Amino acid sequence: MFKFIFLLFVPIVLFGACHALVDDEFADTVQVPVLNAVLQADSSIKVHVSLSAKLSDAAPLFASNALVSITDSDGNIDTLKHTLDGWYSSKLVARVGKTYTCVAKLTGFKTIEASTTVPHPTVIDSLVFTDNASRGEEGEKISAITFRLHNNKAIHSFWEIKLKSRGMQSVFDMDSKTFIEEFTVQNRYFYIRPEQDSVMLSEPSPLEVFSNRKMKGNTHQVKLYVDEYALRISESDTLFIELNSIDQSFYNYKKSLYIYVNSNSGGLGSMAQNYKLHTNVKNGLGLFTSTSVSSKDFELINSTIQ
Amino acid sequence: MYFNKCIIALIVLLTMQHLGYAISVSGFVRDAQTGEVLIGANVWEKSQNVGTSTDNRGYFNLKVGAASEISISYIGYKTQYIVLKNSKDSFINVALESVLNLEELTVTATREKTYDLVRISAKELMQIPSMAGKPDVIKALLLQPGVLASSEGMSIMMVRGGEPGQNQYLLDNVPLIYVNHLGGMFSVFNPDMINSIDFYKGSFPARHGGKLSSIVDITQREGDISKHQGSFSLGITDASVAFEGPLANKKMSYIVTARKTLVDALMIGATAISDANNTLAAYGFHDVNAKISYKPNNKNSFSLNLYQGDDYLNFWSKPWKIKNDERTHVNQQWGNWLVSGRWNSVVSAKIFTENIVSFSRYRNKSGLDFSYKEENTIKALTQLNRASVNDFSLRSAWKYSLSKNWNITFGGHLGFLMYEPDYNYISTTPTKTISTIHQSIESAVYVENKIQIAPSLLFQPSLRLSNFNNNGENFFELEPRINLTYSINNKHNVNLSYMQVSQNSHLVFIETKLLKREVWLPATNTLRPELSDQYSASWNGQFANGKYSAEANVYFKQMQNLVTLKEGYENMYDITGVDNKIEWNGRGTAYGLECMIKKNTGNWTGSLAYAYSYSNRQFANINNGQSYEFEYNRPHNISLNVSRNLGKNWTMSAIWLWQSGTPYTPELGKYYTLNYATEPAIVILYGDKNSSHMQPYHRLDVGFNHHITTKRGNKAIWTYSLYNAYNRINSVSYYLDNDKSRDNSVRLDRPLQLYKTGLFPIIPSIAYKVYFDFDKSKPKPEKPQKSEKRKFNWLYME
Repeated sequence: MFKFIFLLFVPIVLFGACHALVDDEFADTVQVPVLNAVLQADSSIKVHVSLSAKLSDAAPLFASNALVSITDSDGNIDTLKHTLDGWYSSKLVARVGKTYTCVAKLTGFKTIEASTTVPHPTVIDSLVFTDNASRGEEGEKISAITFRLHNNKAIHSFWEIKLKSRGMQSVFDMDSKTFIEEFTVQNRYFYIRPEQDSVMLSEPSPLEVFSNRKMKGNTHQVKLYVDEYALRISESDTLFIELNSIDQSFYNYKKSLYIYVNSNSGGLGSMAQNYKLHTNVKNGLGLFTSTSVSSKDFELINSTIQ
Repeated sequence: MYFNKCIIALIVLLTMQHLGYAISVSGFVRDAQTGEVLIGANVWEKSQNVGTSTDNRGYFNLKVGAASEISISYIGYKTQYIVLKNSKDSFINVALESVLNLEELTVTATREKTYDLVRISAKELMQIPSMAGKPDVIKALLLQPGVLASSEGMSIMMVRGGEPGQNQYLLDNVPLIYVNHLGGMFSVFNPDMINSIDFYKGSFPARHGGKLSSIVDITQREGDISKHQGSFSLGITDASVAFEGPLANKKMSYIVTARKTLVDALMIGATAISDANNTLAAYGFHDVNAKISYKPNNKNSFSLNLYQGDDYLNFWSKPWKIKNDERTHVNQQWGNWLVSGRWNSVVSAKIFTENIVSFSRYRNKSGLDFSYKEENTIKALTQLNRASVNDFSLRSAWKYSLSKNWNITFGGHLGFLMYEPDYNYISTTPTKTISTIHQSIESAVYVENKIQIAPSLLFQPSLRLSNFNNNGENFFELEPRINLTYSINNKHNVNLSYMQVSQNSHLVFIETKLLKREVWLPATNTLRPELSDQYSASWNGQFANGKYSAEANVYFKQMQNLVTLKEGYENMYDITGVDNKIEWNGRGTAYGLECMIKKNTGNWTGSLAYAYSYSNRQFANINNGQSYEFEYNRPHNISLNVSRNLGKNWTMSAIWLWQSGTPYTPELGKYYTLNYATEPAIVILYGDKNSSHMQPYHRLDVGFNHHITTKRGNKAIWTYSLYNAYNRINSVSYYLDNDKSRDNSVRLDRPLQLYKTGLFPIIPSIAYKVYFDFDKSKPKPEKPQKSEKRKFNWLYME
């Protein structure tokens, strides 16, 4: 009888995941100010100020009453004006090569501070588009985009690379409940072949950001591959390569963001590993950084563009 | 460091002096019925208070005076006394008779002192309750203080703060590279094949090397020399068979065991009737062990050993749902081959040698076969990705009894290895195949000394010289080991030891399309050999005439040249050279305290163990170069293991475990960042790496064995077990969610709570094992008498 009951019991209880609330007492997290800004070369400066929140809170609060000022390396100072939802605007325009220091004061908190130097844009030339460069794993057409970027070995340089298209797109307008034509910029998927680029493939966030850590010369040839699905664009669209020169903080932040996003998506049997995002804000959180953009348009025909 | 090594080497050489002389008695101790060797049997000469124990070949060598009387004892067997009448060196074969009633036993207090060594017999292994109702070697080792599993239910173990790839698993002294089934849920060692397990957490003998953290030395059985017999068992995970018996007029014996999962067909059936997708799926594993032993005479024996085991996971397109002839087959297969030949010889009463030639191969491969029809043309794609290691090795070990107080073991190892960590084949690309092969030669020579300096002082200085050459890059290591044992009396001993070990291959776990893959990388000038130094101090003692025993150990271990994947890398696709994705030159520190109390005899037997441990890691590019707690470190561990004979052929065993939770990086809050665009987006604020611990882990497993005799007169066992008997949800990971429903995606702009995921609820299981005796002429279905039932004699276990 015992055996019989036992045998009945076996299929009732199956292997399965269990979930439960963690009822431990956690120490309250100390609230700190958060400062975020990406300064674009030759654009006016905007920064975002907010406060961190506890997990049990709703959305973190925007800071609308902070005293925010920016000083550039020439000694120019500007006090920023709050516009909306934690955004503060400056009259200053970010200039290549200048260093900007942002200070924000909020009542009841330590003063937060961060600096960035706007990097010089990088020259890209000798862009070659090869329409039918290869065939993919499923027989699809693979195109190749090759270009040369100029590197200054004397300084540490960091870049972000993107393949984009711009043009008019049909988008659904929530107000009118209809599709309308709107100018949009879209990211396009590309990849690098394993044997080709030890500089870019040695980065933990593949193809998003890279540095000149492993570059040996004053120029570096980059070859990107893109499959025919990613290049399906309308005739009016324009494809272009965008190379953002970034500072080291942005590079570190992007690397940490890549791990932050991907570390929880491991395969079967892997454990989620939480990862702290990089911050360069003293006494607070967030990222205060800057970029300079270089871009090169090309068409979907075999061509060379200087 | 080199100065210290030289000093130790000098001590080794200086102590090599003649310390006395007597006659040498050597031989083997075996089970009188089956002929199996008895490992750890005590051989003792009382009047001179000298003794030794048999090694894992059942061999012993003892120096005694003339006209001595030696006793040979082993738990569960009648003690034999042999009087040496002449003054010449002697060789003796001892066959011990098993006793039916354990209460008749006397546990001798004169066992040889061993430290940092745990010896688990087949009988002890069989008594440990397990998740699937079947015993598991590594699950048994996980009950030892200082040994931790990677996560719930896993057989991937970490010893004294070491890495999963720092444990050496030996099958009859030949390394087996991959030791897990089902990603670590079960180990590959079939308990039917096992005679004994020697497990070293430290103080490795110099003959062992190549792995930093532990040695699991499994001695396989040779097969019953007296009769043909076998067994068949069935559990919820697998079915297994075993056959053994004599050959060639009892000069040879064989044993064959095999296991195979039963879920393969069930999974195909379940996915076939499921409408959820267009795919059939199946997972399974098997393993086969075979061994033939030949003893032409008392002094020589040969054996041929074979192991093959694989796991496989397959997905196919359902044939009846194929459109445009589009067919897909995705699979992953991983496992080992091992073939070895061994020759043991007693050259003289003073010299014993063992020589082994072996080949083992590990490979883990995943593949994709895809084809479709386009314009009446079949287009096809084949992909194969594989990591493999081939190891062809020669080993020679010699034991020499130099004097009454001095024994030497020396030998060497020469291995030719081929590592292929990242083979890639894609049929449609111009290059098709990308791979880097590492040809390596690993060699080592060693000498172990066992010197009885005084009746209460045993000194064991040893030295191992190892060399590793990988594609022309050469690494030489001098590995001193020292062990000093002081006997307070014949029941209490203290021990101090130091050892240095090197490891010439690194293990990393790589994500693949299906499961994680174990990839072995040989040492290079960048990924230099891993090194460890371990210091330990131990005490062990016996009480109440051996009824109780206790031990305590403290250790301190430092590891260098550790490797791990760079943060952010989950796979090795799109990579130029493995080195680029590896973080190297890591350092680790581990220290701890381990205590254990055992009750060895009586109706109730068992052990209570406690361990405190701490282990950390430090890599230049992880956690901003600061050290952080090792991801598997659980500071406090308690394990309670009890067994009881319930009478009427029932036995019961139970395990209760309590462990601190594993470290994790805590969620502290949330804040805005400029995420993908220039608009603020909410992200989680995390604390420092591994700076918090999850909730404690605890679990109770209970098992019952019911021994019966079938109607055909065969002995059989029903095993009933409950894994996680009080259904504790032990967390393997934490996650944030707005509520418990898990129906919607997580909204960071709403209140969040921390939830835990557990793997295994209460799991009942049942297993049945029946033994066959093929030499039995006419089975009689008679009911045994009650008294006979109590004296039930196990085939393997007594």
